[in-house]
Amino acid sequence: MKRTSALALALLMGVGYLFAEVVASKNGLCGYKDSQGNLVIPYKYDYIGNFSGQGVAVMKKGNKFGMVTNQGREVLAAKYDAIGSFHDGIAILSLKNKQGLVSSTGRLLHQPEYEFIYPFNSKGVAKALVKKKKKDPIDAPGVVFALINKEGKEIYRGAAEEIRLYHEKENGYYPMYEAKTDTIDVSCGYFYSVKENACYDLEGRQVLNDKIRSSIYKQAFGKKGNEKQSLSKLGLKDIEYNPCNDIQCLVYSQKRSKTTGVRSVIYYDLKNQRVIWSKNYDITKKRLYALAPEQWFSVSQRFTPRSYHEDFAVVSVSDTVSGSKDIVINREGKEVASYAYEGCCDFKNGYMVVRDENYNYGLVNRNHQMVIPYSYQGSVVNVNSFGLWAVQNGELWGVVNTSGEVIVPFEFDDIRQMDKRDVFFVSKDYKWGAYERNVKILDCIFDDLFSFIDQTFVYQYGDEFGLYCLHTHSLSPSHDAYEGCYEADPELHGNQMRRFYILGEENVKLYGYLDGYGNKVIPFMYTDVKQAAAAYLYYRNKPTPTFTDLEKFRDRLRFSRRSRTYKLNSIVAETDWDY
Amino acid sequence: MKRIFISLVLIMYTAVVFGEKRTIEEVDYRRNSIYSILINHDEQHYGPNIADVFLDMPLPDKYNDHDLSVKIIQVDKKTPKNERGEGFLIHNHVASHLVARWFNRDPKTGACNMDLIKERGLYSASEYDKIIAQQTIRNSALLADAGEELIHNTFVIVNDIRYIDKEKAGRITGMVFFYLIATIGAVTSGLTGTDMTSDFATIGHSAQEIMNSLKGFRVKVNTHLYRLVWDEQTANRFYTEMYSPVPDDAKKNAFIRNRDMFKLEYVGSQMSSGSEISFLGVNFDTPDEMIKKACTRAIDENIANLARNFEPFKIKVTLTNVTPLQAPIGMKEGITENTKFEVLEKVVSDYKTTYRRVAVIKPEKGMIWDNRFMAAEEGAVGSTLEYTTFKQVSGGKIYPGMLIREIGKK
Repeated sequence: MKRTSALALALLMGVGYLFAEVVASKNGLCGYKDSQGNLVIPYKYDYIGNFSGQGVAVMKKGNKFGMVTNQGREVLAAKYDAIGSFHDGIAILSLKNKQGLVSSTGRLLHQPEYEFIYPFNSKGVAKALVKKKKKDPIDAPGVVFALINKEGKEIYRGAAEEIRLYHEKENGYYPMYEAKTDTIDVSCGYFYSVKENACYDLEGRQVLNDKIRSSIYKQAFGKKGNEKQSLSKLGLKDIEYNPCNDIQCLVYSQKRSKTTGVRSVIYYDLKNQRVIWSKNYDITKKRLYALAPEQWFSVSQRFTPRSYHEDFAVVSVSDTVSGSKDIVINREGKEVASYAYEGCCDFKNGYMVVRDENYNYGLVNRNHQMVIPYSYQGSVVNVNSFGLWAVQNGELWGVVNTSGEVIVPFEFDDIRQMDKRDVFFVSKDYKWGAYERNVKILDCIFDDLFSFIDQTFVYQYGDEFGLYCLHTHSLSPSHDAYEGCYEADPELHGNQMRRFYILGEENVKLYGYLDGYGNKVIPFMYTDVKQAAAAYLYYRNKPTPTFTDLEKFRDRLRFSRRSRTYKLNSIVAETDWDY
Repeated sequence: MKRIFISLVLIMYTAVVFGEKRTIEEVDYRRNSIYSILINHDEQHYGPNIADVFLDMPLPDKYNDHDLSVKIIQVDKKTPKNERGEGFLIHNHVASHLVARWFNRDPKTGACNMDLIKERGLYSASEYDKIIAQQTIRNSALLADAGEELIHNTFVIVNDIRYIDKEKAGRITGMVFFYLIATIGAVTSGLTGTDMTSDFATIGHSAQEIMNSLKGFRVKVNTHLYRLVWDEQTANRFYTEMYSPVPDDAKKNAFIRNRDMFKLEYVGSQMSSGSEISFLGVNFDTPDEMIKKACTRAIDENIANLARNFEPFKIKVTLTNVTPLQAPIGMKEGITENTKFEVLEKVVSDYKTTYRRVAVIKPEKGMIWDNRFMAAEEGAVGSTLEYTTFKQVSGGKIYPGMLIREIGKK
């Protein structure tokens, strides 16, 4: 009996707990009742959101937002203009058009001081716009950015052109202002400041500066001297390096020597602070080779260091004895294939594309065995993840697999590989089509085709842009046409979208976003890219308070849509309705 | 003492004189809401021009704009002549979108509000708070009032505009164009509030037909009227299952799944040939202007006739002056010398609004405002009046701010 009663009581309490709820009073104000039905938060808020796992919710008083616990304690005063929704325990809040960060416990992580905070990347770092003149576009040099982490700590602040980020595809780093994406690529774990001439980790610590480079050199070549001695004091200067991952490739030269003298190449493990591999080269004669496609090394009187890929790094060297060669080293610094190839790419998907002195291309595997001999006159950078390789035979391009079997016939003037799919874009007479493995999915009738996300790609047909969905093998559902589009935004918290635009009245561009299924996630009504991006954040975060004016948005959607005509028997797409 | 007395008299006199002659600003009142769609014919001449012009047409000013983003339906030659677009309205759940607009529903989150109800219902802030509080309570008088007066008075007008080919319209006689203009101008100058058709008949249709055939443009507009159904059952279900002031996935999905719960009912149709349109004041170098005038006049005429013939669609207008009786309504609304209006007194009881007739008035001859589209450019008589003057036919005292509504058929 007692057990039954206890169980019943526990059940009741459990059931009762499920019904703790935000309640509205007769005058429309909100309060909160706990599971026992006690009014723990009196009726004084205009709105109370959902309580987080820490028992804190966003509340609204008048026109201002704050946060309150489920015991009624205001942990964040109601003085902010908006608080976005939470991701990974943080949200953006705004005050007087400045943005800051707040945690889901109500702790203010960063005061609202930024013009705009971009989405956080997978490493928990975001860029934030600090300062910009009104007339400047958002990516203009001179615009000041900050890098912040999810603790709200500002890692670095500087002009956009002084922060360099690593770009894996280009195998080098580029100024942050050239980034065409909202999230920054710091997948390598580091970034570089031109102004400071230093490499930073994501905690904001300098891991490579002048003095550290100097000590690395001494460590590598057994030089003695003051630890704090600069490179300059050693008579050295650094030429290039790749702040790309935890193994850095550093190249030094004699200070006063431009074309002759010693080049010192060091591979340095930043994490473990040890030299992996080092070598000095003596160049007494200039050797300059033509620059092949960018993926290949450029060789002159200098070295071009490259990063590790799939446990191997390729070092391009030239000297008077051997000419220009690539050597391959493993993570222990051991040369595994020195001077074996005239030229090679980095390893990708277990294979490396190589080239002989006659500019014929072949393929080697991880064991450095030749699986396809030097057969082709052109090649894309790497074998893709499906083991397919786009190559040129004579004047025409096709696709083969790693066994050499022809998958796409050699009929095309050009070829492009779609990321993450076994889809190739092929070109004939300046028109593009597509193959999915050995199956033709689109004839060569399009003016351009380019990747969107793994489900879709974008086509251009005359002045019209649209989407092709791979999983349905059809054009986008409503067969909508757009006048222009931009490169894909990277994955942001699981969402992938691309910004398009249509032309409104007086040819004003109206921006919006489509997802990979062709859904108009952000309507085409924003004349300003920043507004479109803000609206994107609004919808991405399933908003409570909002950055955008819904009424204005609707008026403009109605305006942009009203001239479209619909067949009498047609079903209008849901996204074409403004309500 | 004497001075005080004289001052008081003077003040009272001033109040009486200037009070009675004081012109009252038009008092805002609850209007019907309309959503206007065009049925455009693919193959016809001027099809694209008609579509452009339609999008540019001003909304009749006695109605609230309840437009949605979908405005033009394209039909082809095979479409039957009596097609009313009803299938399109049903299959696309237009009624549900109209309701969504009333509650400012966010399609992404399902969140709604009552702001539009408040704005068009002219509710005070305290009354609005009551609406918010009562939204989940059934049989709320306030919500019933909002429903009947506002939501239920939402109309869809489907305008089927057809261009009439000049070769089929009538004969061409080749008379001098400017002579015709002068003739018709002289005729129209003599017209004051009389039926234009009958007066054109006195000089014969040939002049009008000649002008039409010379310019080659006539339109026939068939306007179909639908009304949004908002009864107690619909309202209760909406407020209970679908309305949410905050994002709510369940209620959002409930609305989407039950779109066909919301309905439109067919009220009636009205046909206009557009043949009485004068092209005075039109710049013939821009055919769009001609098309716009023809289409706008025709649609306005149809709306006026629909309002006259169908009780729910009638408009109410405020009397802006009582000495003399004046209201900002005119020929665009179909007023003629024979039109009669009832003067209404608004009675609000327990949030329920009703109207009580207190008097009947009719327009004074020669004092009808010609407020039709481009009437001023045309130089039409009466176009400069800005209001129509009425005389009382029967009933009691009329006060400023009362509403008037047309009664009976022409």
